[in-house]
Amino acid sequence: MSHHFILFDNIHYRYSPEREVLRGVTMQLDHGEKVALVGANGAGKSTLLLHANGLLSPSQGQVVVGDMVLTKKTLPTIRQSVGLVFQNPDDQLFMPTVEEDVSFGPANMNLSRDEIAERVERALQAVGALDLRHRSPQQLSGGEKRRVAIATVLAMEPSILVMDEPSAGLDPRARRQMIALVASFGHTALIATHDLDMAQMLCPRTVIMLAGQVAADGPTKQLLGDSALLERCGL
Amino acid sequence: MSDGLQRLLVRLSALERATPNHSTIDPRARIVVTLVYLIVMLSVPITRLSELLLYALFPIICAADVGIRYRPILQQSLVIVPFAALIGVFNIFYHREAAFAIGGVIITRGWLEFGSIIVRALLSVQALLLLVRIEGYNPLCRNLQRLGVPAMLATQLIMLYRYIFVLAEQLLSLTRARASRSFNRRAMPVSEWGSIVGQLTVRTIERAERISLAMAARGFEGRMPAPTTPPRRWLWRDTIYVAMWSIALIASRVLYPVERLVQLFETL
Repeated sequence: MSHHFILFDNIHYRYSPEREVLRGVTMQLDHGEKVALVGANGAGKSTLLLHANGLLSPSQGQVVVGDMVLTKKTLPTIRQSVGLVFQNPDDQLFMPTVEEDVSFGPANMNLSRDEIAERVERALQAVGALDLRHRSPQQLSGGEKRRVAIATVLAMEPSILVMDEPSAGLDPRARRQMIALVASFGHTALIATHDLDMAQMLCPRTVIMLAGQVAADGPTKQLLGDSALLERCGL
Repeated sequence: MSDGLQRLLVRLSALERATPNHSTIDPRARIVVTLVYLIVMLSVPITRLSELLLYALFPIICAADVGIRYRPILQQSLVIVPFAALIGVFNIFYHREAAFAIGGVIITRGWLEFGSIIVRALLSVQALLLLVRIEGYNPLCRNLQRLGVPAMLATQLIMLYRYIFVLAEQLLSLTRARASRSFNRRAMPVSEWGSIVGQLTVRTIERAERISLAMAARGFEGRMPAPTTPPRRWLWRDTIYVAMWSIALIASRVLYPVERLVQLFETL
């Protein structure tokens, strides 16, 4: 059984009866594929990401991860398979120390203490933040917070990484480090971003969203080279 | 206001973790001793103010024991005085009979009780502040859980503490945004207060929702997972620590040492 692909099948979502944010989104990410999700503000990118691990349930359509349809029953397994990194690391980091924060996910998975400790070490090592393990998240710089936020998700050893604006608000060096870090992951990844340069560097494929629908889906180079399309989609 | 909030946030985050090298005593032992102290101290009859003052030694000794300065604890505990005064002020009007006189000034029973309520409040807050300073808020909640407090309650306590940060951070950004455009106009009209409180409510709820989503994404289902570091084992010295303090505190309550000392001086 592989959990490494994810299918959004005709996803509709309404925040209120008159406000439909997602209007029939269909897309599939295959094993190991890195896909950029771009679109103007309010296009529905973040809302779609929240569907990836069941934080929002579609009003119509379904999410399939591997061979499992996302339901209440499969939710815990799917949340382990799909790691979601939020846009603002301050929303993600809430424990007193980096180490405790990174161990929060694995601890919720009822793993043994040794296994949790190993995962925390591996995750912090992967993002180059092992030396920050005893620091308080509040004392970290923006770039460090972002790396630790990614570690909190990596520690759960997900098959699929879903990231919301991983390069937003970072200084140029931290942004370069972030891009190199994400490039080094072998995970299937869906990355919502406004950073089109990063999309080009990381993702061979791009999906452009417009008003809750997929406006275009194809090779990044081709889509981002189409200025009429970008203009039409508010990019 | 934003300076004060910023300082509050820094102080709060310092309270989160245990004081480094704080002690060799199990946190549960300190919780039990603090509980014994509170029960004993609060059970001193309300008019025996002199006996009560003896208990001011407990926070001073505990602070010295772990190398924490007592003065900041004392200063922080003063925040309770207005609330305690509100509770105690009625005693001044109810009990007007004289209790004793100092150099011709008659002290009524009401004033004695008022003083007693203030001292009790101060000492209680100091003991709790010290406990939090020594053990750290989060480890303290974990140890309360190990002492039998329901996991749900311990989780609520931890979350409540996090919510103070969410609230203070949002208030900080709102007051800074206002200050940057209010050109030193300090007074805030009621209409602005209304909109700030409304904004604050909406923003904190939204932020809390995002945090809660991030927690749910990492498998949180309503209960904080058990700590990943192995819990400290209860040792003999913890038993001795609890026994020694309990004996000392209960003896000080039962034997009225201050009263006996005064009597001794009087007979001499």
